[in-house]
Amino acid sequence: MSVIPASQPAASGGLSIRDLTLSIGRGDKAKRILRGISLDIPAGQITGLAGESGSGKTMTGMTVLGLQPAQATVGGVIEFDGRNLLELPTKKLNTLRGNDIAMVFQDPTSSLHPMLSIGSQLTDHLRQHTGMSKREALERARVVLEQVKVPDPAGALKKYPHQFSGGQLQRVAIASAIMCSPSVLIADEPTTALDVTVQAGILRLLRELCDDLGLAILLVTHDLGVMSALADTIAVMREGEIVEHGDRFQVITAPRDPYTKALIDALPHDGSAPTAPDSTSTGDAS
Amino acid sequence: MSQTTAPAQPDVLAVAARRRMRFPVALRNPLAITGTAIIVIWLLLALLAPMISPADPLAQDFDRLQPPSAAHLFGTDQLGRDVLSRVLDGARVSIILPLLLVVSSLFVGTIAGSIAGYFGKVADEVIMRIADLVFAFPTIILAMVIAASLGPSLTNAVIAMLIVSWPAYARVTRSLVVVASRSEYVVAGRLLGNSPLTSLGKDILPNIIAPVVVLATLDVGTAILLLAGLSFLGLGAVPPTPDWGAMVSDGVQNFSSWWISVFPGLAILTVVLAFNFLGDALRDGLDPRTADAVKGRAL
Amino acid sequence: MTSLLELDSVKVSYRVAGKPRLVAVDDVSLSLGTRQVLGLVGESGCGKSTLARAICGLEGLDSGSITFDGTPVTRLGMRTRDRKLLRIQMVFQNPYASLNPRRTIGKQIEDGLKVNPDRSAWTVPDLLAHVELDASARTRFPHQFSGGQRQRIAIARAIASGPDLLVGDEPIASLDASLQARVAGLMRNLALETGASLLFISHDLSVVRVIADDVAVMSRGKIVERGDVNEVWSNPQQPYTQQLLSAIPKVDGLGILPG
Ligand SMILES: Nc1ncnc2c1ncn2[C@@H]1O[C@H](COP(=O)(O)OP(=O)(O)OP(=O)(O)O)[C@@H](O)[C@H]1O
Ligand SMILES: Nc1ncnc2c1ncn2[C@@H]1O[C@H](COP(=O)(O)OP(=O)(O)OP(=O)(O)O)[C@@H](O)[C@H]1O
Ligand SMILES: [Mg+2]
Ligand SMILES: [Mg+2]
Repeated sequence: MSVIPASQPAASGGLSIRDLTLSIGRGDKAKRILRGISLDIPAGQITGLAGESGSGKTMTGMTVLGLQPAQATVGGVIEFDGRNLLELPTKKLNTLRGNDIAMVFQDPTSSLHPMLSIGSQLTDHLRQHTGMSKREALERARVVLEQVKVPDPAGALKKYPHQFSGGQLQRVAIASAIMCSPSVLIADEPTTALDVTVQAGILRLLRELCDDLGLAILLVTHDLGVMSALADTIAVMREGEIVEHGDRFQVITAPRDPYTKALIDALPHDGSAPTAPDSTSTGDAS
Repeated sequence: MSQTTAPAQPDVLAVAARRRMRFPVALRNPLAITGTAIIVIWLLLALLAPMISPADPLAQDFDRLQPPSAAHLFGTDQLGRDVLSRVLDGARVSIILPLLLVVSSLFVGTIAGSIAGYFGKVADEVIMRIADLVFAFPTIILAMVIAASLGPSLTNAVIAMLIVSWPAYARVTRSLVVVASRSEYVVAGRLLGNSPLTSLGKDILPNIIAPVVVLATLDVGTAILLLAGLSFLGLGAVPPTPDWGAMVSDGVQNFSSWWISVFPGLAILTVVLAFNFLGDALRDGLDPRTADAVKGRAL
Repeated sequence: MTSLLELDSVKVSYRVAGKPRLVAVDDVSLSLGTRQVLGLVGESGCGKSTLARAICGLEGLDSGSITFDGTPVTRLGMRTRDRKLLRIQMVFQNPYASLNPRRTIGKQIEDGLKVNPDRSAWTVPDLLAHVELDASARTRFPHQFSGGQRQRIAIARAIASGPDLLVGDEPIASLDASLQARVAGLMRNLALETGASLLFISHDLSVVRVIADDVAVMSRGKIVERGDVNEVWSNPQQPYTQQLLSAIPKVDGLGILPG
């Protein structure tokens, strides 16, 4: 079993969020959705973001990409590559999106056009930005689909989104996010629709991307098991605030915040593994 | 790609819903405001024309071919009619008629497209074959041929334009309906006992109609130009009905009296531009994925 | 035990361009009694959603038959649904796609209430409270909610219709553990109190263990194992089931990748 050590402090190249606030509506009726989020997402590390349903995890990720609702008021700083993304003109932000910062959306269909084949969707952007030939791009798409464990990758290129199962689509969405080799990846519940065997493969892939390519990953998930396996540090959100942020081991084994503690206590099998299956088990570590 | 066609757009459905918020945002852009203002002014002028016209648009009361002056701001034409009054009155035919045309075309096309997309099979085959047939010909030429064979009259010109324009709406609607009808909320509604028609009216159409309406807005300008074109060729408004296209045509025959054609020509220009400004702004408020559907034009 | 739902050698396939048809559900026979909670687990893409859709009459069968409470389930197609079959309701997998973006939450939950034979069984605020949402949600639109909140709204709508058979396709996958436990408990209790049955699809055996009596394990379109949930959990017979169990990440903070 390989125990991945909690990584070293931040290298340069990641993303840094400071005092991010977001509210919707005006005056007294304004709904404060993010209430001052500060979070570093260093390169070569996986930063976990957990928290209860509706606490603002998705909104945080969306805001980094400038995809917050049109009527939202945003404050604070999101620093990437020496620039504040919140002050970047839309055009510049558009070129950053997908190239340097990519996102796996919680809704896997959201980044896919329902009427175009997966092959053309995966390759369009890449070809536009790198001038790659169609054949090269399709080959890369096939390789990436294989990496995310989509069955029959060559056939998948010709299919349309509605022809995939929920979990397959989620993998296609992951593929589309990593196609252009971004340097920051925001993965919003990337494995909710996956069974544990496929999930294990995806987790391993994310870990490799992070270690080998120095990707900065923000991993949003409510699944503490996934968190415990993958995240280097874990931040816990509640009602628009980060209530706790620390080293993975500390947050899981000795949570400081009562809410985090409640989350961990609520685990169905109180953190323990199921009874170990027979010797035929394939459950060996990498 | 997440970020290709749709620059990393979240949730096509949420965006669809957000459109109710986004249209107002889109409309805040200066071109959209200018466009809307011009359209509103023209519509008011068209409605109030009988009251505010300085003269009867049909009366041949004045000296012929007078250049613009204090008495006749836009001059008079070859029959001694007041050009300003004719331009104002012409707005009724030249704007309101194309507007009605686009609305009817939208109506017919949406119904045909919904039937084809939702019920599929034979209905789909028949409707889309007819649409393909119309698409096979260049729009303007087909409209001219139909208008000519029906005989020159405004009604016939409008019928001709309707025939050539509905298939574009049908196509767009069809493809949007096909995708929308697979949505889980549509299916969930059917499981709760919605009949196919209820489902179409309650769950499908409200969610796809926005891009179709934007397409229509973009088409109003073209429809105005096309009707003016048909009238110019003598296939539309029959004299003496004031119509901008026919007026431009009159001016061309009285070449030295520039004011006869320039003022109706400017009127056409302002309205067409105004509708295009508005249509473009509305299109920018659409989800980029559905905005694709609006790339083609009906006319 | 009388059986409420009976699947007999059901086969469903999809057309794929340029290839032979893809068999998504292959010769599945299954029966589900009243007041029974059956968990259905299996790898991604093995045909769970397809099977659920077939049970609701949303897919045509290549062969075999589905009977619900004595009524054969036929493909819905372009007809209004048979009144008897309204007693089967489903919570769909994608919470973002299962609510109409243009109608308020309240209206959509009322759609469910309308088909409930016992009209006074629920009120909208009741249901919202049960899925732990604020009563103000009623007048709002789906895009104003998070993934997990939408999932709960979809569950509330399905419960509102008072079904005899509720099919949940990964209905609580987007919820955190504590909420998962509460909502799963809610679904189970409702099923048992109103005499309904529950087919609960999940890729997560540890969730199924909490809610189901029986579990069926699906792999490549076939049911490979069925049994009492605790037995399967502690003594899985099939290699695939064993894999499913061993790949569950442990919450130990050690950063060990599962599998
Ligand atoms: N357009 C909007 N208008 C008003 N409120 C909104 C809007 N979008 C989201 N919200 C609210 O913002 C809060 C945060 O939502 P967000 O999607 O970030 O939650 P989340 O932490 O990702 O939850 P989940 O785990 O359920 O996905 C929620 O309470 C939601 O109701
Ligand atoms: N409309 C379709 N056309 C062609 N193939 C399809 C279609 N829908 C599903 N499939 C294929 O059928 C198989 C079963 O899909 P299904 O959605 O039932 O899987 P699932 O068990 O629900 O998986 P998941 O856990 O990922 O949601 C998959 O391989 C999928 O690619
Ligand atoms: Mg979320
Ligand atoms: Mg599924």
